[in-house]
Amino acid sequence: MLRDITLGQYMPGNTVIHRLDPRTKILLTIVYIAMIFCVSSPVWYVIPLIFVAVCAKLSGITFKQLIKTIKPLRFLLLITFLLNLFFSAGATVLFQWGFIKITKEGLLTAVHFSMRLIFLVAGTSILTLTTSPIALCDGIEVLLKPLSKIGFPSHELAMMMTIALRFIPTLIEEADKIMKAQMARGADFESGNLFKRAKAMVPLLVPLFVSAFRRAGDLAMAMEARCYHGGEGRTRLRVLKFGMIDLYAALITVAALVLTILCGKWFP
Amino acid sequence: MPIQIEHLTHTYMPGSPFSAVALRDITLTIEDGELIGLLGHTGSGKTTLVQHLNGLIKPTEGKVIVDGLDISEKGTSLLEVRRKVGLVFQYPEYQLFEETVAKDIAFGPKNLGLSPEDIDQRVRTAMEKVGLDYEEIADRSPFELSGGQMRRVAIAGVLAMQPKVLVLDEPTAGLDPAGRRSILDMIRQLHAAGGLTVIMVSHSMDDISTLATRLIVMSKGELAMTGTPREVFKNRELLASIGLGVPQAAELAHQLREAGYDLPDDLYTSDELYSAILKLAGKEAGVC
Amino acid sequence: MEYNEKWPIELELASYHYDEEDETPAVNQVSLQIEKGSFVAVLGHNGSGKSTMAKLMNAIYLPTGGKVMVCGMDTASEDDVWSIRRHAGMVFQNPDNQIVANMVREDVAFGLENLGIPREEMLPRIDEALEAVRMTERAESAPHMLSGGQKQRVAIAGVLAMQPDVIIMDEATAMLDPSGRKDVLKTVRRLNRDKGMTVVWITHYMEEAATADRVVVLDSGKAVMDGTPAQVFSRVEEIKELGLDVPPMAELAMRLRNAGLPLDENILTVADMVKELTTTLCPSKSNI
Repeated sequence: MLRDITLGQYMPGNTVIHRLDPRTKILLTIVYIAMIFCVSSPVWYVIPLIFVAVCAKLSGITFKQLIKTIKPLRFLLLITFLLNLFFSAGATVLFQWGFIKITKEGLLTAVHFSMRLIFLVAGTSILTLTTSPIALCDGIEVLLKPLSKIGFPSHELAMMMTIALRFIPTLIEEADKIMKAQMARGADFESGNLFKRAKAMVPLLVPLFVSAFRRAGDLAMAMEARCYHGGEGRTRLRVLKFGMIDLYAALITVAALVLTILCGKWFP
Repeated sequence: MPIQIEHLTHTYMPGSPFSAVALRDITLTIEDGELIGLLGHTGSGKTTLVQHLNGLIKPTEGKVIVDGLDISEKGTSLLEVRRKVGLVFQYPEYQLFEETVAKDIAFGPKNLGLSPEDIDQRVRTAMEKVGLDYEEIADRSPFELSGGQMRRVAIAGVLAMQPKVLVLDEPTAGLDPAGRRSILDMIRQLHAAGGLTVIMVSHSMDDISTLATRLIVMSKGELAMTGTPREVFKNRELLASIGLGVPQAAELAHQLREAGYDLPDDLYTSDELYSAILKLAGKEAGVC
Repeated sequence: MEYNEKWPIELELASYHYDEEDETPAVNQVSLQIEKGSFVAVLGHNGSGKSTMAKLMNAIYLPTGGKVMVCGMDTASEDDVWSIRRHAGMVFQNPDNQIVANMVREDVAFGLENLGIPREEMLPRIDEALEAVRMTERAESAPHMLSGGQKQRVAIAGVLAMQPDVIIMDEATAMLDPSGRKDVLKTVRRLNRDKGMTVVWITHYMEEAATADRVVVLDSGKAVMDGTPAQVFSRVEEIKELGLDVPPMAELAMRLRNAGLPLDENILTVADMVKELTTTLCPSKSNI
């Protein structure tokens, strides 16, 4: 009964942001990342802050959902903050206790790096929250296509991603069934230490792999029977089209990037 | 060791937008030594029901009591429940994982914490029960066996727990007629000789009608009917209304009765029809 | 060799060895012509070679002996392989393992994309194929939300969109429940009747073979019987010896014939039996 799993973080919707071409969203996410790295001092995170807030507002994503995407990173954040706080070089000592010393520069760097991490994750999450994995796949395929001229397997990569997406629900359902079948034979997946638990996974993983290989063989045969012979000469049912909103989105994002760079230059 | 099911209701993902009622207010008792055929469409709740019998899933409401153990109660050892009720899933060969047949069958007894001697003894007995030759295949990899043999290994793996109740979810799925017949014969023997209580989920009226001592018919998560095959197949209309047929012999008897022939209204096997038609023919002596 | 359009698939003493050292080939010198517009069932138990034979029919396997011709093209010719597969479409056994895309409509498009069909031409062909299998309403669904029977219908639509001359159903119902099986059989029967689609239906279910125009029975890689369902299934004893089932009514008719009732040899269904009995027996007087 695991039929209703949603993949990744995607929140279906039909907002402006959802309707943007996936290629636009991927490229603009890269621009956004560049913007984050151009922020010169913690104050200027106000630009990405406004940018993310507007995107979130437009796509119907709540503040709570954004926080949720950052939550898994809380330990990494803490470590980043503490390391920068204690080990950055600086002259203005704010606090000292034994060999522990906190400087003004250290504090600023710690805040700066933590902010960078938070904004990186929150901003890129908007991409995955508003773009279905399938659309993402398509976007990546088209964007990587020029690389196939130098031998990069862009079609194969995209096909692999599509098939992986297609089979994740099937394999989750299967894992659930195998797990129950082994539990019926007294298997215990829940108790014991880490080593014991890892060992307990063998009766689940072996059949799951065996089945995945069998499925792969079957699928390869079925694809060949339907005349699949690689990306060459292939047409596509789904074609991506840029619209006016893609242009506006690009202009706004690039403007935000330029503004960030200029602010860094004028008010370092 | 009866199994009592009292007002069992099961809802998947309660409270979520995907919540779905799979079972609704089921009350049933399964007595020792029965061979039960559990019938119903895909989605009728059969699989959900059998997964309650060994505590793989717990009731949302109501109770399931296995040999005095309430599966929802906190102190109940689920391992104990699973030792009593063995569950063979659909396509059970897809759960095999060990290097050898013997090791795979030993998985259950090992989880029960038995001694190596006891485990070996159980593996041998279980293999014998499912008609596999220990000397010949115990040390072979289960993955190099035929589909039918793999299924027997998987069933042996459950029998090695020495359960008192054996539940099989469509044990003949995907097998050809010969394979199906031999699995059905094996089940009949396990029931007759082994004194096992057997619950068998099936789609095939013809398979189940000659095997079961009692039928349980499920429809849309509810208990639609229960009784001996003879009692159940008499309710042709009710079965049809939930999209199930009767065995062809029962259908023939019905249509002949409709056509005006004097036949009892509870025939359902080919043998019964054979005698009944000959009797009719004798009476008429072919005078038409 | 001139291509005679009457026979889209021809096997001439075709053999297939999985392993060169194997003495007994999986398919052993089979000669067979499939007539255009016919519905031919190939019946056999597991390991009889029926599925291997199916795979010879669209160049998934190449014969190790003899010759296989598909619409006038020799499957051994490498240049024709994609054209052969377009003309002889194949649906496989496991519904989960042949759907490639994440949405029904896109999966139906898969074959067309591979053939390099322009997008404008794809759209009407996809719609038509989905309509033919009555799946238009699920065009936007994700495959894992469909039932087994529905998945197989999507696979059929994927083949249909390629506008083949022959559809080969390689045990496509073996893993389905009875309603899914009925559903798929009905869909393919309709394509055969309404669109004149040539169908090769590989199965071990006799009740499916009983509805075909012609039944070929395979055993140890050889075609051992070939004829109308009535001709084949009246040979009750032989069929049983091959590890297959006969329709219950054919068997009952045989027993009644042996007991002296003058019943026709062509009885396969309950309806046949009722018709035959009502002309042979008089209605019981008590009921008139």
